[in-house]
Amino acid sequence: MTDRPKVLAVDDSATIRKAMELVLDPADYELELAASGTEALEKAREFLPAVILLDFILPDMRGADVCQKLLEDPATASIPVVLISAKGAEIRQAYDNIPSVVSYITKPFTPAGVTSVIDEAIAATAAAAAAATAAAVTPVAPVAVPPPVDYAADDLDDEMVASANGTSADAPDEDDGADWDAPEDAIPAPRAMPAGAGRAGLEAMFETLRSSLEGVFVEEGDTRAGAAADESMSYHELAARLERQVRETLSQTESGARHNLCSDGSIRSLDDSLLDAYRRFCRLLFRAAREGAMENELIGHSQPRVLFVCSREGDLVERLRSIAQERADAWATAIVASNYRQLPLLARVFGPTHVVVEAMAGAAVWDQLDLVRKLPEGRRLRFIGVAAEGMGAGQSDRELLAERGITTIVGAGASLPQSLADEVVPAPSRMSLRERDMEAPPASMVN
Amino acid sequence: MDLAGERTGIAQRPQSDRVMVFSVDDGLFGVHLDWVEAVYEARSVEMHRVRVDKGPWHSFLLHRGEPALRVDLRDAFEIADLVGHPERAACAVIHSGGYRLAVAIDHVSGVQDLALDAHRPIPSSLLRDGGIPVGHLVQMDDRVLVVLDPHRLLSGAQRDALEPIWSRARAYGERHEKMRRAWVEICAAASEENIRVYARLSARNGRAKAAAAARVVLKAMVDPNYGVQTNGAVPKLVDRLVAEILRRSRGAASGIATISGAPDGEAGKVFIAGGRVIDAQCGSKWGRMALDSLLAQADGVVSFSERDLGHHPERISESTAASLILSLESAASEQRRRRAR
Repeated sequence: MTDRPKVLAVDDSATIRKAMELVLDPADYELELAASGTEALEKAREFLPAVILLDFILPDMRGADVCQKLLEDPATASIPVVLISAKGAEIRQAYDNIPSVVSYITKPFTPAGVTSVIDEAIAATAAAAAAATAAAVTPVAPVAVPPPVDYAADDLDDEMVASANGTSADAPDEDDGADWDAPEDAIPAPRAMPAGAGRAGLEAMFETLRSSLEGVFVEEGDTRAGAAADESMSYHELAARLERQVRETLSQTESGARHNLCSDGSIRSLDDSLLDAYRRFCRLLFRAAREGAMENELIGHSQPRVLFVCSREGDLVERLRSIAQERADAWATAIVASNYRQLPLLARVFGPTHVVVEAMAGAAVWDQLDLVRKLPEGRRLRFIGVAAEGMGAGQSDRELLAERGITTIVGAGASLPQSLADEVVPAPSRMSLRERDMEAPPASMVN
Repeated sequence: MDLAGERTGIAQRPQSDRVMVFSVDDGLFGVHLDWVEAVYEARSVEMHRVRVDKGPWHSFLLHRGEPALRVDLRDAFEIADLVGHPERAACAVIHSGGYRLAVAIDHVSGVQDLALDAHRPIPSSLLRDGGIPVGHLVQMDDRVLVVLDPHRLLSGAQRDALEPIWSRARAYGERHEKMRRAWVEICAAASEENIRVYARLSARNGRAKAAAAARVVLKAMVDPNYGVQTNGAVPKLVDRLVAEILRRSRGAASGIATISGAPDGEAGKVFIAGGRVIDAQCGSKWGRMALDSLLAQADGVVSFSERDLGHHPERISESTAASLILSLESAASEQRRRRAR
């Protein structure tokens, strides 16, 4: 039996669970972790924590469903819940009708912020419980009770209860605790975080997590020594190590062992292994990104993206299709020769860097291209007009294109492929990861 | 149209490379078939709406009892401010993360095998959280197909913004289901309890006319003086007629309630057999439409004569209370239209 306050942290992210461990273990809480809603419900019943930290979207159920099931079980109904979310206040608002949700933690969070919210939640719940006990033994002034309703209780959804009563009956009043003398042992003393370097390390860790949660790939979370060691390896070696580590981690997950003797000789917990696999994966990814070896979808758009807009009539569409095929390795292309109303939506998704448009495309095209110009992508967009060859039609096309504000004009003649190649900036060539290994042998392979 | 695999007739084939192709703004979009639950024609599905605080209304439909929030690709891709909000002919219910979304579409083109070895997909430049593309473009013969990642239709910020709306919509859906059950009970055997539940849930779900109609019927059921002249105040025709019908209903009477003497209305009759309204007549109208018209009239005199109706046709099939609620609801709409004119 321990006097340390019990906390159950529920999050499907291994990194967040690890972070909670790093924060709450040194701060003298008894911590239990759960990765899913089902696991959370089981552990809540067994562990009976003083507070539950709950991620509001879990792989198997939503946070609201977890709260509801906790409320339905008398053993867990009174456990206060603190939501973890990147949009704390907005999400808290959505949970207004769930009385057990007492507070929220907004990502990114700091260690001190987490412990402070936990302590407040525990204190408020203890105060409310003590007040309820006091009310049971102390005569109190009569309270206006709403008349009983004569239909089934389950017809009242939570939202209606909240709106009818102004607030939930179970929620403590704001004034609770202000003038009330709670037993001293009912309110745990605020806990201090370890000072000095440990604190700084945790802050850095949280910053890393915050960045990764926002989808920004983080290199800072890695250790310099680890990164330097991996720099000396080939892609093949890195990938092989990652594969081995993931395989061992999966095996550990299946066995249920908390610690595992890994093939590199170290003993690691499951969380350590997962975090290390994540780091190793990031190293591989960063290196490939930095060296331009990856496809552009994750690292930006160095490759020109050319949107061809022309009429279905005539031979230009076939010629543009042929140019697109020839340039497939250098350009990403899309051809629209009909249904021009799709252009704004398509341009938004495709994100062209260049629009090659036939001069005689028609009014419907120009109306839509005017909208495309106004898209966020429109600012960086270069328009290239294709004018007919010859003096008469060619001149007329060039005038029409100029009227539309298009100053880069190429002729539709035999030189069209080369003219377009000159106007559309080619992307730097890419090599496969294996080609890179072959071209620059890593340090570990050099005798 | 339900696109569950077993109903498309091609369920024997593996679905791993098959996408449902649909049209939005004349552009072709596709979603992996496994993530599509159904396609509803806009005119055949009831759209509901909720909002949080004083925010904008958000539409959703109920699919298998769960809300599917309506999302237009123009909104999802943040160009609606530029190109406006169009009407769409259908909604595709798609799983997206923990949500069901009703993606507004113009029409379904069909289900297509996606041979990506022949068509190199180009990732969209529109990225979602984590730098993941919202979809890939595949140049088909003469069209561009945008294969959307169902889980990346919305950004994290958009999903967070929808979370409170989703919660409201789910509460709405639960009430809607309870209303449906209460209505089934009312149609079978109306009671004060189920009409009260129906009235309250209707009001909560924004169906003010249905709620008001149910309250009128409820009041007439529980108040013995309802529809009776008291303290010199003459009750309205609708109150007198509802009270008369329910009084005869309680007494399991058979006969005809006659409405006459309305200065600007039409004379009419309500046929009651064994306490149940089985038909009504107003001018040339019969059945429910006639009852609607009678309840919408401003004034008139109600009298009842008991008689055996013999084999009078049953043009109204619900219970008396249910038919009254429906007709009062319709009458309220009719009165509103008259006022507007």
